[in-house]
Amino acid sequence: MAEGSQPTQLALPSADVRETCARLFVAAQALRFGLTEDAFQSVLLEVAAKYVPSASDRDLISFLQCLHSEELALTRGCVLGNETAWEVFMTRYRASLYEAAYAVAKDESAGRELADSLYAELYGIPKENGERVSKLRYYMGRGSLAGWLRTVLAQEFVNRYRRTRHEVSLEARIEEGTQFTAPASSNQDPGDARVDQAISDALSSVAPSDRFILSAYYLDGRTLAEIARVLQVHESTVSRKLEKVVGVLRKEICKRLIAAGMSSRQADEAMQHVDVRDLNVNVRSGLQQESPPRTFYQKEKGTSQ
Amino acid sequence: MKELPKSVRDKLASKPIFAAHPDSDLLGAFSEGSLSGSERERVMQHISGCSECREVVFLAAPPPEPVQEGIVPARGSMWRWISPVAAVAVLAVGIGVYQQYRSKSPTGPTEQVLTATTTKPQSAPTAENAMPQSTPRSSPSAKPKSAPPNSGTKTESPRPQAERESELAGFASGMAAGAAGTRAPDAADSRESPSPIAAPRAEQTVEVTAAAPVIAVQDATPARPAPPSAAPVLAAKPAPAVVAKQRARESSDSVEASYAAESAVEVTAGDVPGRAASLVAFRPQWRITESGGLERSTAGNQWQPVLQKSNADFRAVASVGSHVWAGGADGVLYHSTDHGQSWNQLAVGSGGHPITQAIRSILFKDERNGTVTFANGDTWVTNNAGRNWQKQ
Repeated sequence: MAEGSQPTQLALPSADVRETCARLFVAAQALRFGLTEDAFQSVLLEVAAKYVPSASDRDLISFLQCLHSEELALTRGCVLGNETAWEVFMTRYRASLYEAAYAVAKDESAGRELADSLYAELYGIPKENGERVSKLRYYMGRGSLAGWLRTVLAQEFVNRYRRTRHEVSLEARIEEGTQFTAPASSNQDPGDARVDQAISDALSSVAPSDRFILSAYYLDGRTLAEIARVLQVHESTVSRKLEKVVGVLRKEICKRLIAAGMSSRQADEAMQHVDVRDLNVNVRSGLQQESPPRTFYQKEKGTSQ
Repeated sequence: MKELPKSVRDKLASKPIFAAHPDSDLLGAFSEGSLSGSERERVMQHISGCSECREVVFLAAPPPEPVQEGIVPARGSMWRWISPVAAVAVLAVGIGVYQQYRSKSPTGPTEQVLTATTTKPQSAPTAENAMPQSTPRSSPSAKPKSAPPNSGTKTESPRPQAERESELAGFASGMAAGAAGTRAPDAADSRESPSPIAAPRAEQTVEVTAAAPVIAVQDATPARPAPPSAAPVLAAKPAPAVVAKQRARESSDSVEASYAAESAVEVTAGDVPGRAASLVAFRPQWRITESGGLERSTAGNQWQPVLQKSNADFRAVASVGSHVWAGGADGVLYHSTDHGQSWNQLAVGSGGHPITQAIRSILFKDERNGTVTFANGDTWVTNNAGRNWQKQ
């Protein structure tokens, strides 16, 4: 069994479950990575105990069959320090790890630094007693190992970004023109409480998948193609869904406002109320005159004719 | 795109997160689409309100793959192009035959006519001896009696009805053979060959028009129209339709052939014009709509939904001949052996435990051997059309 804390295991697995574990042990070639059959069964049951603690035998077997058992065995072999496991890991995933890091960081040097730091963590950071703790210990085989590595890289990148986000030099602020930015005012107009309540209620009724699309598009500024790639649907599907959700949301808010005592006209006005920050003013076209300005001489000449 | 009011956006951003962040395994599996059911719903609920996890999910999304086609070709890429080209060629020949037949009026002047005499075959035409395995280059039994077509004589008298029927039937046999995926021989071969599929009568004078299309049974390769110069062609007694069917069955290379042959069985000499369109090889096409519905093409280039009652969210479809496999979310897999007229649901898995992952792709080499790939990357193989599966 892998080093570290003892896993929480399901009590007394049935014969069917044990048979499935044995079959997966062979299929995953776990013996090659230095794992015994009992150790691998313990790993599988540990994963099952984490995600499906109260599953029936049938559900448990289905769950175990869906695990990426070979990659799970590989990572546990790496955790144990098995040379074959590390050799396989390096061969299969080292290049893709760096490629994923470049893709996440969108910068070669930052990507290399990100991948190097993760690589060190995967190899294992020595604790005080000299024992190494590899991050691969936390891979549970739910998705592919490549996907897990991408996710870990992304999490590390987001954490770094958040840590360094507020560390902006004064020069950079001056360049951006934000050195004198006033703090957000706390005594803004609270508006009509009924509108606030109606929006909250309407948003609560939106399905999670629809809210995900709304948030990704309007809050995160993701493109339809990016959302479609994550949801594994066509881009046009996301577009249609977004149009539909926004339309339904507006109707729902209006309906709730009317139910709260507003007239339909008031509800429409409340919905159509335009925030100044929403305005996308084209300063150039606003300042541009239709005809070139005439000089005083030209004006005088024009009036005298 | 519709704008979302600022107040709604603010409220959307301030939506509190109730659940703890999902671990890396779940987020990674979510990005790959490996999660199913309630687990995916829980993660979706969290990331819809958690900008950090949303960011991670977007960054960890797998790189875009090449677009998977809804219809998996049963053969190599060459067959993908040959099939529609052959269908268009057969259609063009059919239209030409039909137009020519319509243009011939019983009272009008007959076009340039050649006469040829055929001898009685040694035995009645059967499925075996009807196949011209070796067509002689020259045969004394079938010689054109008149000049070449360009200098042919015109006759003023209308042709008898029986002759027109005979010619018409000849077209029918040609169409049947063409639709069954046969190759047109040279004009000289056709003119001189004693045509084993000729009429069992002892002596028969057959009229051949100069513009008659050249289609004859040769082998099981895609049909192609004769060159324009190959005009004079022997139009013999129509071959029994069973010949075309038999040949089509023997030619296992062409998926279209067997399907067209089924139509060719119905051909009779009397209703060729009406059947002309149906003789064209038609192979149903399959596609999956954006909403996950399965659709089959009809002859009129229209699509009709299939398996609507199953409420399945289809992701992949493959067809080999009359066999069709369609699979999708939750490991749902359907199989049809009759072009989608009837369906059986299959279960992929071992030991009575079906896989519940979404099916990402289906690929069948033939009617029995194929693979199914699930969203988690697992590939299962079958060698008996989906009755049993083994993990690869």
